Formats: sequence, structure tokens, C-alpha cells
Amino acid sequence: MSGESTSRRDMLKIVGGAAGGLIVGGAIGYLAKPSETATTTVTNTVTKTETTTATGTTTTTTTPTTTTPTTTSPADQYTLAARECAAWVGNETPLTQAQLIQELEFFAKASAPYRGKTVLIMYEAIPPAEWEEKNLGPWFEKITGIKIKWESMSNFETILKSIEDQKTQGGIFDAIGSDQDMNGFYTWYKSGLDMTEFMKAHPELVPPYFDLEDFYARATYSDWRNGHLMALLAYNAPHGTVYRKDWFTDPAEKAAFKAKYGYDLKTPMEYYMDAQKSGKIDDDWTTDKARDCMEFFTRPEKNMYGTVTGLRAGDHMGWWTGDGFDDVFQLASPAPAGKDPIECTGFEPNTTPWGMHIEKNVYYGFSKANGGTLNGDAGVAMYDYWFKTIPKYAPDKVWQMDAVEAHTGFFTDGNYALFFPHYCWFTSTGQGPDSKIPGKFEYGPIPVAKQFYQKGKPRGYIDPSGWVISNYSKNKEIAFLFCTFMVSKAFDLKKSLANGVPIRWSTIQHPLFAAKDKDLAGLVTLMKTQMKEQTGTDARMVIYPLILPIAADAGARAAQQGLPPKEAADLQAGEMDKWLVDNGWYKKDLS
Amino acid sequence: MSKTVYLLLPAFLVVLGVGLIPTISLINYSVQTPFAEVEKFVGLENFRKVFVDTRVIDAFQRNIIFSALALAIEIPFGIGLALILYEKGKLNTLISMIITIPVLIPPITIGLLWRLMARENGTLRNLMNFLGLYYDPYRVPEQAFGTIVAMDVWHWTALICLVVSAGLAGMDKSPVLSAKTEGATRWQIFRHIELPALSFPLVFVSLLRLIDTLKIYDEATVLTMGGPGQTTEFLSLYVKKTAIDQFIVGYGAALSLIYNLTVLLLAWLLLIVMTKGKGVV
Repeated sequence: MSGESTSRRDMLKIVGGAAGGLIVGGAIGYLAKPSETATTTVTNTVTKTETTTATGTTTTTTTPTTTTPTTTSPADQYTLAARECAAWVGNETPLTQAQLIQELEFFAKASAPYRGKTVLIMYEAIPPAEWEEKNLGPWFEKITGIKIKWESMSNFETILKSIEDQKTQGGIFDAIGSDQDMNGFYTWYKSGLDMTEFMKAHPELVPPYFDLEDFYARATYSDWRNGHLMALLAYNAPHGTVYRKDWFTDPAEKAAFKAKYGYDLKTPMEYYMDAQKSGKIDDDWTTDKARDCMEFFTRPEKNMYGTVTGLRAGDHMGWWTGDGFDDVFQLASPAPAGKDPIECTGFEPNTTPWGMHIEKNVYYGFSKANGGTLNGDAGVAMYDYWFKTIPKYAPDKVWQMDAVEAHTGFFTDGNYALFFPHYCWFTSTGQGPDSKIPGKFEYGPIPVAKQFYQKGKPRGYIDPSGWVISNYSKNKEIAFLFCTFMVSKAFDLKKSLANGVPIRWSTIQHPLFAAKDKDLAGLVTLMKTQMKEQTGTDARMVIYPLILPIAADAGARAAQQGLPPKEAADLQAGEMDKWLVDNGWYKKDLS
Repeated sequence: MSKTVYLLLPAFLVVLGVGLIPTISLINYSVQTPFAEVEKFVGLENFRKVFVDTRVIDAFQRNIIFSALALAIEIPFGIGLALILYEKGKLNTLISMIITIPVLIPPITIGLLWRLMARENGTLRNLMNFLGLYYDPYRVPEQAFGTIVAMDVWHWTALICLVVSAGLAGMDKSPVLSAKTEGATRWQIFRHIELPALSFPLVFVSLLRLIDTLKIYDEATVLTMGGPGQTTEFLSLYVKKTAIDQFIVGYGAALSLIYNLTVLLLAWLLLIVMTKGKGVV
């Protein structure tokens, strides 16, 4: 009996425990269950988007309410995240709300086979890339379930990483945010993924609103032999002159300038527009006018200087004569008739950078002896201007500064009249809390040396950075999803409203972006009026990362040893030509 | 096989892993053109190029002058400081603590610190201006070189002082007391008693500093990046420019090997000189 009694008691315990467990478990399960109401709440409540603009001000945009009463299950968390992201984007996109949701939900679906994996991303630490990491990175992870491992670095380090990846074929990154200068290198060595071929092979990974035609300057990041895309362009900063608009438009300064120089002081953009109307180079923003303006505003006793530059040793001592002053002094040949420079992958017989002579895809050299222009009349004038003229109107500390310090210094020192060649990456710095001149500066085109000017020659280096996928990566599909997400039409406008670096025509033409022209210091106007004259590094410059240190080294030596301009030009051109010969590139045919 | 062999085996494997294999790889690279457009065996061609490269010769001379200057200042100065601080006293303890601080700072930080001091409105620049001296190490090569020497002296003199102090502390005091009783001068005590007793720590620290100065990289690179021009480009920076920036690995490997052997040779020569040909202390 006692045994039976115990057994019954045990049975009661088991049944009671099971019933209790079911009740508690059911209650927890009920409370944890995502409901249809929850979905609606998410999409309805996030109706306001706060955007911090380049001026540091915050605007609130009311977005159209999107209510999609669909039945969802816990497995749809990625779709839910996509809709939540759509609400975050709001109306800061050229896409309609339906298109936006379609675009973002695509990533939720396409990423299904790759969830839980990690993509290794390296990038140059520039403000728009950092914005992507902070803003788009978390959304990507939430929508796709793919983790991102970010590594930020300097421009030169991205170059070194790219060389290392190619030489070791190690796939040391899945994707890298890289300057357009590197296009030829990735193309020639096949270390970058051919995006065109990849998209053909994987149409299921191409987002519905990818819209290749919407990317401008894409020719600059493509294979010169077949036009295949080598990067997904992410952002672009045009090249220009940055200047103190308040100084240039001050009536007292204008009167004093006219009295001293005999012509009107106008802003660089005004000079440029005058020349567009008259068709005369004399009316344009020229190096002569720039020199007068620098001289006029140099008043050391008041801590005012005409300009700033960077003459410390470093890689900028190479690229500033290849992606900067060379365009001011027009070292390259003009674009073929009927084409704007922005549509070209290269120029013949002289190209960018450094006025190198490349004819019918055969390398000849940089020096005049080999048909190049680096130490020709224009090249010598370039060094004269950079090493002799500019330092006269700049503080002595330019000898201890590099190009990036000069760029940020223009804003944080706040005592320079103008600065070129300026890469317009730093608008958010200029309008930010560390700047002494928020709202007081504006962008215009780079000046040109009128004695070498010819219509159709590149005037400025358009600096489109892009996401390149390592051809040796084992995660190409994931990397491609990452890259397309970062450059999606869903985000380009929003990204550009914060950073001013659009890469899509749909952004440049969007009314919201146009309305930001003042906040972006005239960047939109510069893009709309002058950008077509700018170009990238010749796609055939496949040796760019290898020859850059030679150029930088020679440039630094020439500047710091105070060589006369002709000797400086001869040194740089000679060293670079020697490298071509020593390394088997002279007369090499890239066809 | 004796037990000794087994006991030595772990050490041998460690040496093999950390020293021998990388060196063999370096030798292998140095006779080829690895990672170049055309990879081929070039024999001793890379070594030949090193010996006719004027930048290598210039950089080598710079290295030698720098090491000689740094050691010539740091060693006497370090010994002097140690002798002063050897005397007991609360102030001396405090000074010892303060002068030790630079030794604990990483070279890269030292470079940055001095770069900030040497810049416009930096402490050093302002001090020179206050004294009525023109000072701009970014324009004047001699000043750039001098600043690097000064930076090294500031950074490492305390190490010599510490090592010498340790030697003094461990020294038998009775000969000094006897000499004092006999009326010996301070110089005589130092020259004939203390200095011989300090020979081992001095040889040790001198070798250490010679090797360090020949390898100088971080501080000088951060301060001047080899400039103005190439006037502060040391061998280490040139190796880095060649092998890493330009990725000319074969030549870089040959240069590295020669650089390595040069440091070993110079260190050995110093040892021979300081030990009067014995090679051991």
C-alpha cells in the first residue's frame, strides 16, 4: 500500500510539475511572441528623421508613414529591420517609399545564405567612410545578419594593404575603401574583383535599384580595355579652391584690391562663371589672379596669410603633383573632341598623373626626353609656383605640415584667404565645432595657368573613392552585398546631406541636396557647373602605388633642399623615368 | 644521445623558429626578385646594387655619425649623473625617479613629443626664439640632425645612469675608503677604482646603446620623416621605404642583411676595443 501511495504521490508531482511548467512556459511564450501590432508600431512610430548636416545643425524631416499590415513571424526579423531602416531613411532618398522598402528588403532576403558570417572591411579614415561605419554598418548587420569587422587607416596604408594583398594573394581583406588612383593597379594585376563579370554571374545579388547608369565618373574606376567596373563608387569629393567668402566679398577689401591691382576682386567661382560667359581665359580664375589674391591677403602682422600648403616629407609630396598641381598647370592632353574629361579613362599622348606619356597603351615616361610634360615648361612652372610662390604667402609652418594638416588647418586656423588644390572632403570639418570659419568659406574651381590652358584638358582631380573587393577573398558574395548596401540609392542622398560627397546623379539633382548648397559651402554649385572638366587618374596607371613613393621621395627632396624649379622638375621626372627603366616598364605595352 | 641534448632541444627549436628560419627566408629573397614583375634568380646582384647605392652610403655615414655623437654624449653624461646621484639624499632619490621617466616612454611617443615641441609655437621652438636663436628643424638640416641627437640623449642617458648606478651599488666600498684615507683625489678614486669596477656594466650598456642607435627608426621618422630632403634618412628608414613602400623585396632583403651584419660587426668591434682585445669582460 505504502508503495502504491508513494507512486501516486510521485505521479501527482510529475503531472502537477508538467502542468505548472506548461502554464509558465505558455505565459512567457505568449508575452514574447512578436505580434502584427508590433510590426505596425515599428513602422508607424519612426516617422521623424534627425539629420546632422555639415553645418552642425540638426533638421527634423517628417517622413511619410508607412504601414504595411502584413503577418510576420519571428523569422522575419531581417525584413522588420529593413522596414525600420526605411523609416530611418525617410524621404531623404530619390526612391519612393515602396521602392525604398523593396530595395532594403532585398538585402534581408539575399543575405539569407550568409547569415552569421563576418566580412572584413578596410577603409581610409575619411569623414564619409566613418559616417558609413557609424550609420550604415549597424543597419547592414541588423538587416542581413552578417557581421562587419571594420579597420580604418590612412590613405597610404590602404595602398600598402592593397599591394600586400596582390603580392601575397592572401585575401587579407574582403573589401577595401580605396582611392580611384588605385584602379589601374587592381585592374592590371587582377587583384580587384571585376564587378561587371561578377554581376553577370550573380544577378541574384544585384539590388533592384542598383542603377549603374546613375553613378557618375564610373569610367574613372573601370578597366580601360573593356569598360568593366572595378569598384562600386561610394563617394566623391571634387577638386577645387576653398576660400574665405567673407574676405573676398568684403566691400572695403574689394575697393583696396581694385586700387592696388587695377581689376575687380571676385570670388574664384565668380571669375570662373565670368569666363564661362565670355569664353575668355583672361576672365577665368587663373594662377596669376590667385597669386595676386594670396599676396593681397598676406598680412602677417594681423596673423592673416594668403594661403597654406604642406611641404613636409610624405606621400602627398608625390600625389600633389600628380593629382593636383598638374591639373592647375594643365600637364595632360585634352579629352577627345565631343567628350568631357570626366567621361575619359585616360588622355593621349600625355595623361594624368604627372603628365606621363602613354601612347596607344605603351608606357614612355614622365620626362620631356620621353615625351612627358613633368619637366617641360608647364612642369617647371608648376614647381616654381608650388615651391617658390605659394610659400611666400603662407606661414613658415607649412614646412612642417603635410597635405591633410593643410586641409584641416585651413578651417581650424581660420586665417588663410584661399587654398588649392583642395580636395573637398572636409566640409563637415569646416562647418563643425573645431572650425574657426563655419559659414564663412566657399568652394570654387582650381585656378588654371593661362599660358598652358587649353579647353578640354582636365581641370581638377575628381576623387571618387570606391569599394573594391579582393579577388582573393573567400567571401566575395558577402563583400558584394556589403558594397552594394553602402552605395545603395537608398542611402546616397542621406549620406551626402551629412557629408556632401554624392556619387549618384539622382543625388546631385535632388531638391533636398540642392537646398543644402549653402550648408555645403557651394559644393553643389561646383559639382553642377565645373565637375565635368575634372577627371581621375588614368586607368592605365597600373604602377601608381609603386611609382608614388618614388615621386614623393623626389618631391620632398627637391622642396626641402630648395632646388630651383627646373632642377626640382628634372629630379622628379628623372627618378620616375629611371624607375620605369629599372623595373621593366619602359615601352611596356598594356594593350 | 645524452640527456644534455634533450635539455638543449627546446632552446634550439626556439632559436630555429625565431632566428634561423626568418634569416634563411631573408637570404632566399635577397638573391631573387620576389614579387616583382618578373621573378628570377639574380645571384649577388642585389648586394652589388647596395654597395653602389649612394643613398645607402649616405645613410650609413649618417648612422655612424649619429651613433658616435649619441654615445659620446650619453656615456660620460650618464656616468656623471650616476656619480652625483650615488651620494645618499632625499633629493637625489627624487631626481633619480624623474630622470628615469623618459626611459619608460615608448620611442614612438618620444618622437611625437619632440615633434610637437619642435613645431611652430612648440616649447623648444619658443625657447630658442626666446634666446634669440633661429630654430627650424624642418628647414635646416643641421638642426634636424642635432634635434634627433638631443632627443636620443634625453631619452636614453637615464638608462646609462641606471646601469652605472647599479654597478656602483654593487661595488666593494673598502678600496674607496682606503683611497680616501690615503688622500686620493675624487678623480683618482674614479679613474683607478670606480671605473675599472664599472667595466662590465659600461661595456654592456655601451653595446646596448650602440645597437639601439644604429637601429634608430621610430623617433627620427616621426620627427622628420628623413627630412629636410634626405638629411636625416637613416638606414632603417631607407630599408622601410624600399622594402615596404616600394615593395622591392629582393633589394630590401639584401639591404637588410647587410644592415644586420653591419650592426653585428660594429658591436663586435666596440666590444673588442672596450675589452682591450679580449672580447670578454
